[in-house]
Amino acid sequence: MGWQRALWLGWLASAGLGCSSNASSSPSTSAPIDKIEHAVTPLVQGAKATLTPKPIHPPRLASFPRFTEVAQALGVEFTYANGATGRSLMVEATGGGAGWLDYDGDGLLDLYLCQGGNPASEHREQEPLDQLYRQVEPGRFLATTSPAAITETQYSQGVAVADFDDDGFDDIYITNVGADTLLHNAGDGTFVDVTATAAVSNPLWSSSAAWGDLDGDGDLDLYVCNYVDYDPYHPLACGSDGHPGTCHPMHMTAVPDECYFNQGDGTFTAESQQRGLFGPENKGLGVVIADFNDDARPDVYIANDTTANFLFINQGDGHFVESGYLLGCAVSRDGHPQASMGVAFGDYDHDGRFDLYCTHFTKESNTLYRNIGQHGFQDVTGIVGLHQPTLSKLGFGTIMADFNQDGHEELFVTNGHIDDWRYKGDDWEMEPQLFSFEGPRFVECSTQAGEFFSQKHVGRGVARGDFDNDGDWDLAVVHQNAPTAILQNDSQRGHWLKVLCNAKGNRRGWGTRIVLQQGTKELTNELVGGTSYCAAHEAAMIFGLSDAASPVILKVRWPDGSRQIIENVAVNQTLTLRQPRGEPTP
Amino acid sequence: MDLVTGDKSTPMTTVVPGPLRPPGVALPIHADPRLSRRLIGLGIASFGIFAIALIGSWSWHSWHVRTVAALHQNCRKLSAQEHWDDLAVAAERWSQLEPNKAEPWLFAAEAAEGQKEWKQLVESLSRVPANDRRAIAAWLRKATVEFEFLNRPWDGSRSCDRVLELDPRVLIAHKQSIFFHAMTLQRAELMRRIRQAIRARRESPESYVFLISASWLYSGSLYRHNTHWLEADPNNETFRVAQALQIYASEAKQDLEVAAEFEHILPAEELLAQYPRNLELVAFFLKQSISEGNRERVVELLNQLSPEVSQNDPRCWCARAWLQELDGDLAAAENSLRNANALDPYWWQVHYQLHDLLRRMNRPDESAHYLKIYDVSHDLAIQITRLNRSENGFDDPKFCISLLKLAQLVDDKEVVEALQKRVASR
Repeated sequence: MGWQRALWLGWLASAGLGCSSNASSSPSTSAPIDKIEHAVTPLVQGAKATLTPKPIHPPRLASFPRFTEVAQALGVEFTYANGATGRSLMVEATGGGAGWLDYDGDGLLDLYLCQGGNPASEHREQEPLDQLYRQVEPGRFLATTSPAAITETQYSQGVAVADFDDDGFDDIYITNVGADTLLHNAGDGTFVDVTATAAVSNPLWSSSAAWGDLDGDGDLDLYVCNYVDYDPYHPLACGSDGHPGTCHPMHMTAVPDECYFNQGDGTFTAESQQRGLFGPENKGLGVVIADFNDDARPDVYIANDTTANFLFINQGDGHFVESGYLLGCAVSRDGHPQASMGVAFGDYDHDGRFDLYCTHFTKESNTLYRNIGQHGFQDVTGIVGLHQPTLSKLGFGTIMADFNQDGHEELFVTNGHIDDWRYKGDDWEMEPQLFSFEGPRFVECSTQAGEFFSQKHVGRGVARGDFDNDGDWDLAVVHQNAPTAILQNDSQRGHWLKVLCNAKGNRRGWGTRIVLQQGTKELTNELVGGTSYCAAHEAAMIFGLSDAASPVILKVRWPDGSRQIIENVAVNQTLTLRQPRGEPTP
Repeated sequence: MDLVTGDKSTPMTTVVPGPLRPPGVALPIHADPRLSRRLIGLGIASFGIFAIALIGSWSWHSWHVRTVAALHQNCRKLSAQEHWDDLAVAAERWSQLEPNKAEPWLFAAEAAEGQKEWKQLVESLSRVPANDRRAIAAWLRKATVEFEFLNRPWDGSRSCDRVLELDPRVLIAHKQSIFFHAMTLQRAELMRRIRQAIRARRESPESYVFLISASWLYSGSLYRHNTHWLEADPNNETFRVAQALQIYASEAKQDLEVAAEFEHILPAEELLAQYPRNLELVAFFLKQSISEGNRERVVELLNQLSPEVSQNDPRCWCARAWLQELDGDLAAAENSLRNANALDPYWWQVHYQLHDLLRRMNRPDESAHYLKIYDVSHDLAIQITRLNRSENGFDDPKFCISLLKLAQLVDDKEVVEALQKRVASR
């Protein structure tokens, strides 16, 4: 399976590697130095699996992360309408999503927001449009849906953003209940619907989607999660005692996910079955495309609702093998398949391996799967203190990041029920939550994180992006039938480094992995596809360095597997790395 | 041999040799005539007494027979007429005359049933002699009355035991006994009784449901049955715990629509404080504490149980495995999980945990073996949790086949054989 084959095959030998820095809040005077190496060294050095996470004790800053809700002030006034009219149509429960992108290439993040409307409308074209908000100047967004020629009126769920044709402009894939939409960025401020020509319409009820180079041919492929077979125009009657209720997914027929492989000519071919990207009872809601086993190939993790999650391990020949059970991330520690919705991704314990955090239904608790290396994952939810705090919540979008850059990873979760179960003691609207890993356990710091965390919503998609370019993660949080929130990160922060990547054939660098070394400390990050729920994130990596301001070494593994070491990189800056355009070293 | 003393060696009287006489001819009497008369009188008197005794005895017997016959006839008549009070008197009279016969006790039982005198009924049924062919039916009826009308389930369970002592092939006794132990969460005893039924080829279909779920199911009927039993025995620990555990497990107390109904159920912690050595309560908290990663609490809880109890419970072995794993002693954890598996070979969570542990111990073949078992056992667990109260799953061929497959996978020959016969007979 290649889990143990995580060896450097050679550092990319090239000179004159391009790096540029910009938008530094504390510009450093030291210039980065590129280095060529030919070492055969594991990416994760000295990593040995232990059963419990190691304590992390970087100096604690004065406070936990703190956010301020600023959507209205920024000019983003948007409400996702799920169209509920009391019929409890199942599709009302799952939307919507958000995606950060810089569609006009001005260095300022813009925001795409999905819209629902009436899920059973006979006149779809009359339903409300998805909205694109352009950041026209720092801190000011303007709805530019119409000028951008976006006419998406499908009952939308989520967003995936990538420059699939590598023309330098971010394109948008929108998942819908019914046919999905691929909007090609024409580069002139407008989008063109290329769904039909690209052959990616996917007429099923889809949820999250993700981009990644799954077949290693240099262009980006598209994985789309499909949920269950449900027709809002001819809905199945669910509920009890004569009261309509949202259908239980266990009673619904699963519909398989689809994976579209980029042919490099603007078209895609659906090949999930041929590639091994399928599994039983596939009710996909969350997706991550990342290299989980450190073999320099992207794998795919799928969060399924009420059934076992999948981990498709990339075999290197364009084929995948479903290995969720074999690698310990399919079901909870007890063997329970859970109602997985969103997935957070990151290295919470800084052991160089990427962990997964899945959000779940009430009374299930969310689950943290710790990556233990060769043998896959282990459910450590209980022993890191994450079981009890989420039992009463129903989680969707979730992000793992070091928001205040103090060296402690945090978990943000947005919550909200799928149905009105207040008579059962469950909340309908719920507060979001924030947890900080204080090694060896997480502590909930929601109450210190700002007023937003005391407000209840029906939360769904969460997308992260540094919209104010200050080098920390801000969040867009989509609520059902309530204004979408934009949380500006106001944390008292440690030192940091933000890295953007420009890889060959993949200008946002999706799939690039960086190990940051600062003294004895190593932090590992990767630009991964998907994560969270129905969301698209800014293509950037931000490292939190706490009180250490010394220059760092960056060990870069580009999506094609080539390696690069960049030494003496100053911190507190945004750095753009450009992959050398030579032939990759095998 | 001396006919008087029975002594062969030392005769008490000396027989004087005399002329030979033919056998059967009495010796001439040469005694005193007065003695002879006395002897004659004594003989006549003896005869008289014997005759009187004989006549008395005959008369008594005759009276007894007539009386019993009359009582029998009367009882039958009174029974047919449903004159229960008179029948009770007649049957009691009869039972005094024939306490070791079944009939009077059966009539007494019938009268008591007619009068709804349940205590009298079970008392009468318990007097039916074991060697009577109707004893089994009587004890079964006794069990039913104890379970249903007298609300004395422990007695009912003992009556079932008595039936099974008399004849281990009585299906209904197995069924009632198994049901009682399932509803009171006496899990080890439940498994023992299911095995007993299977060995006797008298297992009911739901026996298999209980067998598969013995370590994890909190039946939806727990609350109802234990609430009923508590009416007659309000401080019974077993009933209180079983009643409460369904509420804790279903979190019904949080269900606002029904919460008021369960206000009388103590919070779980308070109940544990009352019964700190109750296995079911401790197991409930063990599971919760493991989920919360509370190592200290798991240790504390395990220490509340006696070693004999905890070593015979698969849930305690799982808790030990969890602690051992936290300490990094995977070999010990494996051993503990195998002990849990030996105690309950059908528990899907143990199958998964063994798979998961062996996977991390780099033993892929063994891990795959338990994953294969888990696939089936977990699938069955889902089917069981979806069953309605009145269902046992056997109407669904898939259920039977899965069950047989699981029994084959865990190499339970006894169950395999029983299930194969059951499947073949369908």
